[in-house]
Amino acid sequence: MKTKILLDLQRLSGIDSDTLSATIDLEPILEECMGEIDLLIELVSLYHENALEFIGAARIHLPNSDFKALGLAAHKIKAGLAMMRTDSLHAIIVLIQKECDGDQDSKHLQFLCDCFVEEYPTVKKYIDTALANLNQG
Amino acid sequence: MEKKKLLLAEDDQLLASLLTFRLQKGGYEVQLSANGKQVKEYLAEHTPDIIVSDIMMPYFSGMELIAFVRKELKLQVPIIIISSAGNEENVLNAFELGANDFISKPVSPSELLVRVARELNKN
Repeated sequence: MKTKILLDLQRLSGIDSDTLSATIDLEPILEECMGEIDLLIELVSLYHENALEFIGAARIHLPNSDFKALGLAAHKIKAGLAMMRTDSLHAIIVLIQKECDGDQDSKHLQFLCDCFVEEYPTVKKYIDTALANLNQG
Repeated sequence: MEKKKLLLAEDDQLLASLLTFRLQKGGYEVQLSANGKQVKEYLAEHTPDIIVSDIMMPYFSGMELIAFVRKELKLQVPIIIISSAGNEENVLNAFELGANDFISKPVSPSELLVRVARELNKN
């Protein structure tokens, strides 16, 4: 998967596109959960809630040019994205937070938020597939 | 043996769920507070054996928590701060205010367990 978004992200974040487009491996997280699949399911559910909450927050804060609130929303979701090793979404969020703390360019932020909205369904599909595979195994 | 009481102040529910689970499995009695109001309410009635707190929290930051514990409550309970990478200045400020240790996000639960045990063993 080498979409335009990933190529743009590679350019902006400096992370190679193979890393950004890598499929999701939930086994390390399951190990952190000490093999408790129910906990992993709960974490995945919270992950999706957080992602949707960020998308909602961006839709409110960006038109209002409330960069502080947008930056905080990005900060809040960042650790979860890193924890679940979803590198493409994490790279986008890092760039959003950096822009909110720095230049506060609305057009660039809109582009980055659009990247997140476009990339999230792909990541969701990968996570849900990885979870289903672990559940079957 | 009585379980050690650990106050976990973390507003990220995803991280909090995983850490609470691992800390409980590690033998701690965990009190989770998702914001500063809950932290203050808990500390008004209880003294935990150790506090683990995110730096950025709604209403009452990790910094304010350290200052509250050290200056107002005058407690010497160990405090471990959870900080995002690139937040070195905040970490230094946290140490100046009286934090005992810090751990960077994304937090490894295994590493946190080691750090918690180390701080408790010091006391």
